Amino acid sequence: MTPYLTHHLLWNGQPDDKVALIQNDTQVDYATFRRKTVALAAILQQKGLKPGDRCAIYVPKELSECWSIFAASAAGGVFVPINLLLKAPQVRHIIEDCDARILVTTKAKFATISDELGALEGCELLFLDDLDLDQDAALSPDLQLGEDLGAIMYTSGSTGRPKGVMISHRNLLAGSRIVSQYLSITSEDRLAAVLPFSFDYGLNQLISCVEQAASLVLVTFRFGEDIIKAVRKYEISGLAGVPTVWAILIGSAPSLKETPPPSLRYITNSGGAVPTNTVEQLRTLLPDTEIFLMYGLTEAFRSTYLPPEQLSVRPSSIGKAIPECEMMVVKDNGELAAPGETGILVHRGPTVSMGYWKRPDATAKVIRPNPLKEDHTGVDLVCYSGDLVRIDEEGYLYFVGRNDAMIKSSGYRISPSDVEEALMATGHFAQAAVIGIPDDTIGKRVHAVVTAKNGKEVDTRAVLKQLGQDLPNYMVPRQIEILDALPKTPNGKVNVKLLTAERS
Amino acid sequence: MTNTTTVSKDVVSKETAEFIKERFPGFNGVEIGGDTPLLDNGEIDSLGILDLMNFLEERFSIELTDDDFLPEYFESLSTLSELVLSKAQ
Repeated sequence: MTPYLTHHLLWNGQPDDKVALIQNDTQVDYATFRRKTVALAAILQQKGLKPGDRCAIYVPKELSECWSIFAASAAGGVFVPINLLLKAPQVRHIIEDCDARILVTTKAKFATISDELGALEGCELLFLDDLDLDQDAALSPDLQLGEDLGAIMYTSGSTGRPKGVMISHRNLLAGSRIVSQYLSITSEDRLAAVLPFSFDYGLNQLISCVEQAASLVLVTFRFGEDIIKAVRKYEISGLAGVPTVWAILIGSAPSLKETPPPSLRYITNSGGAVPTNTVEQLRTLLPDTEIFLMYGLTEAFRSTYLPPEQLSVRPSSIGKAIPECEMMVVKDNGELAAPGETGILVHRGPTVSMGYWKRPDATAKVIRPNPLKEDHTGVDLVCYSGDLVRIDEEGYLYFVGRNDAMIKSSGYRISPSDVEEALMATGHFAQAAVIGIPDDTIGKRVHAVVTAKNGKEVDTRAVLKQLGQDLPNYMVPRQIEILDALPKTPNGKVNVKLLTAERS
Repeated sequence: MTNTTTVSKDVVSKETAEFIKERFPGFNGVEIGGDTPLLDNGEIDSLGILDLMNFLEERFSIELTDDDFLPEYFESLSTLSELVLSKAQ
């Protein structure tokens, strides 16, 4: 059978004894991975998970997170991985917004947010600690189609709370198939999962790995050396990261300077542009490793990559369309951009998502009819990325910036209004504007410019501490700057462009 | 200009503690003593370590190499100040 649902990939002919997952000194083969997935799926169904029900997953980066994802699919549910860095208010928002039927978690992880989270109505807790997943269970017949929702990935835009991007099983399988193809992933590969599975790119690694019967090594790190040690110890062949990972590798991994890890066949970057000098350093440090610069957004899962052989020619390019997809650069007037011109990147192909969960208006702005073809089918939908790109004579693309206020920092998407709301909620400020200031290591640094209420003095450190309790660290401003007044545009809005330009 | 030869362990500890409180809000209001574990509460993540190193280099005019990025140096203010002093000599 050709796989059409995410969990089908686990029954893709992988040998029973082939190692699927590794963490520290624990190895799990495909037979065990399958058995645990089926056992957990059966429990989810017993707990009342119905086809299409959302199953939120809030599990530390450990092996059980992998079978939780596949089990939700096997049970007919929709998996919703929750980023572990989020604090209770965001976790609650996601659970309520997606109307999760079950929250899969561990006792220790849940304890870190339970007091603040409060009661969750209509959502049952399932602690992995209590379960025996080594019993044989039978997989029930599939009730979903490839067109059905497979996952909801929460991400931020330019305004408002995080939105859930709806990814169909077909999207997930296409993303996995396409990435495996251009990275030439085979069963010989051992991939390092450094990124979280709540990030589409991290999730893609898990699914591609399973599809290709490769092995995935779960790696957590604080020092760059932790990553390199893991690469050497487990003979990792593929490593995916975001720009901060490379900055950390270059800055804090001494043994990398001595000898490059011979097993490392490729590295891939996504989640933001890598500074050109970082690319140069990586090429020097890893002379025998292929470097793939990629670009993607959750709404279209993956979009472009730069073939490694082009890296020395155009190191600042995000490349061209991934296989099976088409990228269009569309100008304000709706026409295609000519070489040298800038426009919005518009993505067409099988990874275009189903839009935002329960937000048809927001979906209509991003998932739109193909602007460049007369469509007689009525279903030729494309994804408007909101990213401005330039195209060169040979069709290679270059990231220029965002078309809106959304801030991209350390690979995370941050909505300024979300942070502004948290600042205003402290009660100290009359006005708050949150901007992104260019930063070599993390892309953009979150910076707050505020006016104090009644001109009173404010202890900004205390405010930052308070914010740190309600927001994930990457959203907390690095600095709160107090001004007498915020500059305005002729329309009376805060002049964010001017504030940013003055501080860049 | 900082005269590195006269920097004492106390000064390094005090100024580093101030930096940590400023950069990592979770440490604000926490008494950071010489032996207070710095990495245990998860406030200082991998990026924070790079920032902390940059601060030490700039503030105390020292040069840190890759080999100084060892977890044992980041255990406490005490171990960090020893690292700084050994580099300042």
